Amino acid sequence: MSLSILEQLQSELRRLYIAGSDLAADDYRLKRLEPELRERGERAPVFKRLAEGVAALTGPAQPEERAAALQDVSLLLNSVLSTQGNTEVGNVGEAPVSARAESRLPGLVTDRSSRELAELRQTLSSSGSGRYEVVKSAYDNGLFRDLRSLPLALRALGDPYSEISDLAAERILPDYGPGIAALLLDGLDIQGGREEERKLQVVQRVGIGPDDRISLEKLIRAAEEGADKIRISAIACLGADPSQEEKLLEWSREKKKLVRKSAYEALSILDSEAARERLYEAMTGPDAPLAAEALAGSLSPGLAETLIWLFEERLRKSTEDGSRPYDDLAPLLIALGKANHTALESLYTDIALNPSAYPSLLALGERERGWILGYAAAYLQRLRTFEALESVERLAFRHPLLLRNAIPMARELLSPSEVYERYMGTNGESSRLSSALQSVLVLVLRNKLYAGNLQREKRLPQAEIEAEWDPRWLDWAIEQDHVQLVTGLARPGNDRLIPYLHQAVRRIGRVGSWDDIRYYLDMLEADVFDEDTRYDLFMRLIEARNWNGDPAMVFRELDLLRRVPAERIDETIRRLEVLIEGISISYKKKTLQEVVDALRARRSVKRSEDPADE
Amino acid sequence: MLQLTASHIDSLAPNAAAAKNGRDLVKKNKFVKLNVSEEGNLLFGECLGSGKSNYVCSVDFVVPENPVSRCSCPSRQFPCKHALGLMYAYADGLTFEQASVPDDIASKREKAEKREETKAKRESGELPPAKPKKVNKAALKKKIGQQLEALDELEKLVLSIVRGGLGTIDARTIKTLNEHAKRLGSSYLTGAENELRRLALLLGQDDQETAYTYASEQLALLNAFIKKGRSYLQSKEEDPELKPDAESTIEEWLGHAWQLAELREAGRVSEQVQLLQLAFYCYQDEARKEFVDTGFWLELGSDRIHRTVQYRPFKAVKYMKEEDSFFSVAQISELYRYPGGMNARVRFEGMIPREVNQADREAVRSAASPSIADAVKAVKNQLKDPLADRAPVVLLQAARIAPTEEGTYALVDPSGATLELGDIYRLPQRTTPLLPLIDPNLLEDCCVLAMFEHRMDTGRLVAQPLTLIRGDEITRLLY
Repeated sequence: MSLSILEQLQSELRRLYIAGSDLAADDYRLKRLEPELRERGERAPVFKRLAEGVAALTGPAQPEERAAALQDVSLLLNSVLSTQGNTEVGNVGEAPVSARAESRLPGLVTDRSSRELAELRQTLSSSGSGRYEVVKSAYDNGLFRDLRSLPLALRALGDPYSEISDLAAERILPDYGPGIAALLLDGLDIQGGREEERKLQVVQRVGIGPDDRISLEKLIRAAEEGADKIRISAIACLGADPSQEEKLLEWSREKKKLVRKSAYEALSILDSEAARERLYEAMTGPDAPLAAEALAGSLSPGLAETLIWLFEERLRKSTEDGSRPYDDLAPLLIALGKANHTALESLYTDIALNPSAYPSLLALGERERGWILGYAAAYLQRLRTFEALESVERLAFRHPLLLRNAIPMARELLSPSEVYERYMGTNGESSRLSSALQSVLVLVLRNKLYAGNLQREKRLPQAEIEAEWDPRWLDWAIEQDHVQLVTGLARPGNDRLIPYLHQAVRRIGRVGSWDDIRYYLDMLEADVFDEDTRYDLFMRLIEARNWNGDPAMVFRELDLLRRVPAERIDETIRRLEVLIEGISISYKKKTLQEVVDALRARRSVKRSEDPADE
Repeated sequence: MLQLTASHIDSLAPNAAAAKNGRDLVKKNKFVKLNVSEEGNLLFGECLGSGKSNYVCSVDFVVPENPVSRCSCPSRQFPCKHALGLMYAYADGLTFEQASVPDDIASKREKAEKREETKAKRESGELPPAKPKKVNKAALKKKIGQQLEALDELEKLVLSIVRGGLGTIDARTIKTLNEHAKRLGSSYLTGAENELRRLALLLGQDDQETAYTYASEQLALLNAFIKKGRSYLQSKEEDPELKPDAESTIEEWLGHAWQLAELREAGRVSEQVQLLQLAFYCYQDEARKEFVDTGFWLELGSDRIHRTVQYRPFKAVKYMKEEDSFFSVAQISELYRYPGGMNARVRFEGMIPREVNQADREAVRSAASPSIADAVKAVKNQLKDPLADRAPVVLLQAARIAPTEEGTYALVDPSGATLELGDIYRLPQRTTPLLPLIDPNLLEDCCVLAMFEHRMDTGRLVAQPLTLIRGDEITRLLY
């Protein structure tokens, strides 16, 4: 069958569908086809029918008939063409489809169900709230191990909601393993935007294979010709390849600041002699702050040693020449921030022992010195040794805030009573700590006793308090007259506790903060006191509250009032009624009255249930 | 003893959220009572809710292929999360205490049994058959008259579009089309309603060139539908006793929803069939205003690929079960077959799942057509009929799936014939981009389930791979 004439006819009919069948009358392009169709019609009747259709379409007719004729010819032609579809393809390869070896992702499955995947697909192709949770739980459930979610993972990289795209760049895609780097580079648009930048972040995280020349060339091209941000990300990926040394050195002198920073980052990974030399030069020159940021995460031991030596030298430098030691020290401190090196340990230990040997440090302002010493204390804290603890304590004697490093260290290394005795002495009177240190200690302890973030702090569980804190701390807290410390450390068996609370509760009720009240109630609910004491302390708080003053009523207090033990109902009602009389604010009066009514109702239910009680 | 797997329970769940909530109930230890009947075919228990009394739920497996769930919660979903949780708890191996069947369930079981008995007696002739539905001839005649009239109007509308040309279509015309579609629906031509709305959607899309190609095809289809529909309705008008045509798809085009009883009467039931799902997908059909869950299943022991279709109207989505991929073999006692071509629709009520075994995988291989030429011939034969399904699905054997120099992909059959693989318009998702990501070993000497489409603009017949099967591996590219 001749396809060419049919295809011609089809394209003419398509044209008429677009232009309208009214224009088909005497259409010469269609008419031109008719004779050939007729001629072929002699052999194949279907051509004859097509020719007749064309004649009806172009010949004299009413407009509706013409439209119907177009429809009929088209229907017939479509049927004929549907049997003529070509499936053959030329130049088919001998090997099966496969990505290049470097970009294979082994271990992908296709056993997840439509429902699971559809939810993820829907989430990543829409906008709105709650999407991050879906993606995160899909990730946690291993949904991204399914082959069909790979395109979704790639799409997540460009998600407008940055939490999702960051999750994709930091966790989801790196999990696919080394193959993903090559795959991402294969699809990299070097003039692209944020999404392409993220692809390179994944590449940097995962790294490219040592023999993957194609990926390397792509990276080099991106580093040389890409858009600014792409260049920056690509350069940072090149540190793993020694052959890029020269280019990286060149980039490290470029005008653009961020290009230089990426080059420093890559050079630090490269860690060749020339790289170290260049980085040392940068760290000693005007580019030091920039280089320091680049080095912070990836400092090699060799370079670290050199920088520590430089750091020490600068710390020991006399400050008589009027230089500003802080500007010299800060970049080194940042670069060494995450480093681990024995030389650094000796340096920090020595600073604790012989502070006078470091005039630069002494010349700094209080805040700046505290910052540097804070780094030292944090480093020493990570060592978790007794010697390091002593050094941190020495630092703390000069800079009291560093007790926040010392205390947790001591608690890790020593028993609760040893910790107490270390700072408070054995008899509680000869404390090793100055009053400044004691006031820092109050803060440190308070933060240890109430866990959680600022808004949702909670008192530690009672068992934990009793097991991990020496009982003598409670005495100390009472002496310090610090309500939150006392409520935080409260435990049975201390004779001074209840008298203290009796006088403290008046203060809490009148001027105490929300937290003071909350922690006081936490203490009452923990298993510290017997039933009577607990009730007594609670009612003392209620009666101490300034009902005519500012503080609003705490829901929790009202709730606890309604739930007082059954045998206390009468007493509570009586005490509340006395209280109500003295209140002048009507809504508070009303609220307390409601509590009283609720208690009365409880009392009557109890009596009807249990008449023998009467 | 009752055998339950998590995947089976998943497939019973009305949607993913219900399944998740059910699982969470087990995780959070919300079940205060777990019981199993002595025969082991009834699970029942109590689950904590937010109110003061517990929810009492049960799942009855007395008819194993059709478990019945009951619960005292007010959910409109069946099974509800409590019943699902009960099953997950059982599948997880939690301890179920043996107890006798509660009275209320026993009485419900009795009633159901009685219903079955009466039904069986009616079928065997022991009892007089239920009164046959009386056909109101006058009403039927009136309905057919309305349908014919609506067809005439549709024809007028279509011809007026053809006269004016697709190039002149604007937003107003599209609005008119949609309004007209609504009228077709109220004249009992829901099939035509959907197709006219599809035309409106095609004309409203941004890519005009593709729109023109598919819209002119759609116009021709409407033409075929009007002609065939008219002659069918006319013959029905003359003989109101005429049974619905159970051989062609015309009834469905007109908007008829087949009842299982009608299919049974037309002899379209196969017994004791085992189906293996090879592909599944769900898409949003804007023309029908429904979600469509489509599954392609191989009837084991034959080379037939059936299709299951579940329509979920947008408005009723919350209350309808959302179908899902199914990875086991479904053992079905009665399979109802709709009229249609190569992948005619099937339906079944209840099934018992079983694990896929080696014999099933071999059955897949032997069902696959070794020759592209033969498969294509059958496909073209179907495409010739304008009212037949435009996207037939075929299982093919492949010597390899290989790249072409033009950067496309091709399936090569054992004799060396080739078939272009590409992504087709009628599927909501592309699958060929996944091919390079698959282990190349799976792309040699394998079977491929593929969906065909004739591309009017290029004159090529292209197939989109849905699933690859090789050895033990079934790689689903769609779902």
